Amino acid sequence: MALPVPLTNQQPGAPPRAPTPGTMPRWGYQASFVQPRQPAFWLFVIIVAITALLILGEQARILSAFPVAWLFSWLLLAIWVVPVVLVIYVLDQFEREPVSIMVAAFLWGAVAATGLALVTDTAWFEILFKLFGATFVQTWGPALIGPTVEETLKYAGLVLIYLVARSEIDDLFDGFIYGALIGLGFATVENVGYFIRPVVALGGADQLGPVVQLYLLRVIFSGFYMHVLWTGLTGVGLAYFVSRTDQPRQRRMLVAIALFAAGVISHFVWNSPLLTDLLRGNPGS
Amino acid sequence: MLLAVVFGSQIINAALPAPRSVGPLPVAQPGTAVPVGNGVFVYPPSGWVAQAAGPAAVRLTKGSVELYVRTDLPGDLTTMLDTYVRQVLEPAASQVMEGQLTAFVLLGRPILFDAWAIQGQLSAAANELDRMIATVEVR
Repeated sequence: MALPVPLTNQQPGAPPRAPTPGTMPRWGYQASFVQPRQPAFWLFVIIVAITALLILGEQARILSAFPVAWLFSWLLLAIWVVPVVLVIYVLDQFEREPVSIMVAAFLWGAVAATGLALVTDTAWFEILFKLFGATFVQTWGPALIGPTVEETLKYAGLVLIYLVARSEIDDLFDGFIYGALIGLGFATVENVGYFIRPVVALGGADQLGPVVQLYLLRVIFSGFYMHVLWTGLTGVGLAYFVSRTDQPRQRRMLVAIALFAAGVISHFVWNSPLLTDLLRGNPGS
Repeated sequence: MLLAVVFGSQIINAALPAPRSVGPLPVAQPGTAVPVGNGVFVYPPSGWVAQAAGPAAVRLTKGSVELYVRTDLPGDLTTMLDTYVRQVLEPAASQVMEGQLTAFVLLGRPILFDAWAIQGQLSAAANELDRMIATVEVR
């Protein structure tokens, strides 16, 4: 959805100024994500290709060990992902985003960000364990590592998408759409891993019950709050920085940093033991 | 940015030595994960004390029961068990101790649980040991 660029930097009472041509959304023009002349495109392709090997390997291992749980997880997630993508697409009424870029955003989240997070999260868990010990890692590891590492990796995809198709991030909602799609892709693949954990713990004795329980908790009850919203927020920040060129650079930078921080903090709160304490009616413990 | 986050973490992790002794540290919250290494995590029940025992090994103790969880042994399952029995267990074998050795490969990661206690004591912790083995997780 492309909203007209507001006339900003106006003094009260001053006559309205026409927006400069460079800040106008280019409605009706759609760039393709496939742009072989852009180095950022090839960087994107290489990272996705390498991490795809990692993700496919993980998925293949899960499939061979727990085929029913794996198939059931993907079926349930597809039931969630397809309508969410359609809603995002329909909400974007003024300027539908190019399908190729939407697919690229989802792929970055599902493949590149999750693949890189797989190795990076683990390394940081071990670093914290070496520095601060087991108790600290148990309590604060997920809250500190998940938000900082994962939001950064997802944000990198947004930056690459912008570098490949700059004209397609020309208003704030564009940033939300691409961010939300990256978050949706990330959540989808990450959720398969989460769904399988209790199945593994039970030795595969029940491959459906634990999947349904976690599907209700992580997708139905909180699916829109989690990665979709977090990366949507950081995407709005990036879009503000690159599209609101009528604003001073410092202000744009501040807004982008603030919204990135909002995404990270929202993720932190979700992963934090403080939230668990609060939900147990034991705040401050 | 990507290079710093991804490769920076690997370099720092490789550069940091495994703590010789970071504990004993109480396992404060039952149900929370203790990282063993190589992406493997165990969930000790209440009362177990965790201590790093190498770059990819953790020692868990509760009373007279000790459990080593290792993910740093090379080779396939048979080689891993053979190596461990010959190099670790046989030299330390004692008639007054009893033990339980469990090894398996989970999502491509070999994991070994070696639990022992003074004779007659291990059965008291059998349920908790089984639960830790059943709930081990690979991330």
